[in-house]
Amino acid sequence: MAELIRESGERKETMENPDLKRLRNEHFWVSSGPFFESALFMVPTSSGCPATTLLQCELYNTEGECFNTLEIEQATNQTGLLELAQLMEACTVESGMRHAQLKVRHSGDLTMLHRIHCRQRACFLSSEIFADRGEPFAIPVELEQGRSHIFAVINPEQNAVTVRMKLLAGKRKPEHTVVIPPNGTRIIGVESIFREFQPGEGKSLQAYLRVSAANDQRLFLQLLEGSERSGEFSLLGGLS
Amino acid sequence: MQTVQWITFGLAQSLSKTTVHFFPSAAGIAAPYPVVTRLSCFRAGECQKSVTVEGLRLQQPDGIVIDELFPFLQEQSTGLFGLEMTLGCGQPRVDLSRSNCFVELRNKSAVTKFRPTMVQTASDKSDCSTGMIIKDAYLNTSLVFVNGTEQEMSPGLSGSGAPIFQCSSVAPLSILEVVASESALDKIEPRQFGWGMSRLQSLALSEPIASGGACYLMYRDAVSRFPLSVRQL
Repeated sequence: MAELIRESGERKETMENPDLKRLRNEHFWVSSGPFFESALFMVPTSSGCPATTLLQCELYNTEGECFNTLEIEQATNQTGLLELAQLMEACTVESGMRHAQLKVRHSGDLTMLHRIHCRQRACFLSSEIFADRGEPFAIPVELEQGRSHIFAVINPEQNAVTVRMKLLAGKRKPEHTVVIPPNGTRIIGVESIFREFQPGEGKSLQAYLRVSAANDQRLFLQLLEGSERSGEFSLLGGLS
Repeated sequence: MQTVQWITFGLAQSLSKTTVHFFPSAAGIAAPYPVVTRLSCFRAGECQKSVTVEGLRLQQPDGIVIDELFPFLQEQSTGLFGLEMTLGCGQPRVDLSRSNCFVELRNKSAVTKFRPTMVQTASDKSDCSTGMIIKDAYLNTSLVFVNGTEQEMSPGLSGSGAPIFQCSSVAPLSILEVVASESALDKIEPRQFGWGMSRLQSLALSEPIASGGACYLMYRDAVSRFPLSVRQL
């Protein structure tokens, strides 16, 4: 069972625990309302590891300000769970959603799994989709009336980054650029940015979102697809 | 020819669609060199069809609808089937190993996109990853073994969830979905979370799957049974 050791509204300046120096850093795009709730599972990876392992977690709002930190001592004989809602009350709302970057530093004795759920559905989201070293990454997007896509981008670095998104739809390649502050996140409604590409009733258009960072930085990416009825986003799935 | 290969599965079911999306890439090369892909579909011990598709280009994403490439799959509504996919580029010194691939399973009310297992040489094989079995009001977990080789595969499991799956050997060129044993699941103490009760256990492979094979944890919607998440094990 995850034991909450410390939780505070202020960012710690350093992570001073020596056991955490050889650690793995993981980055998750997480959300708490109004459409989804995020939860993080901490799954033990082997029986040979110590009885407990320490996790250091930092939550950053969309502008990259740390609004919550905590340390968790997780028993390695049982799967732990962190429900993010209780930690995200201080998170600002951007684009109609309360969403953030969760950075987790741990010893590698655990596998972290991010699950989101809404009223009707739950799914797991990968934290390993990224564009790296300035090389573009392409994500498939099928455009269709009544469907919408939420594209989430995390800047895990200490520098602001300019993100270029090109929608490759046949011979047309419209581009949208967004600047994300250090440690910040953005969500982009694909259909609202590239409105003119919405196909007619009953038709669909296979397109690709080509994403790259202007300055060789790493970006973490996630894409959720939903159906939209009267402004409500109902989850259909994501990148797992 | 420089090549890169993936081994995975698709879903042949009425009103559902399987698409594979490729993004052929090579570090430091921006030229859109032609790329060829070869797709083979197999199940129940036989390779049902192999097709070579031209027209892909380096640095340009593109997709192939598997149901259109192999129309007999929809006619038979065979459920899960195996897929072996190879990308190749005729240009020398083009290393395609940074290429990406997504498999998309879609119907009217759900979609999942996941990254398939890249076939690696024995020396490149990484350790087994750990996954999680979950059963609750939203999700059910199953294991999918894909054997694209000519040899029988005998996977072993470890972790607290290992007894939940009764694994048998997987025949050559076959795919096997193993559903969790209800009686074993019932023995797990349910835990209360914000969304309700869930039963959880960890699971790993006791040793890596041989090259040409793959193992996935598949999370199906508890009501519609459509896959909502797929994760390599």
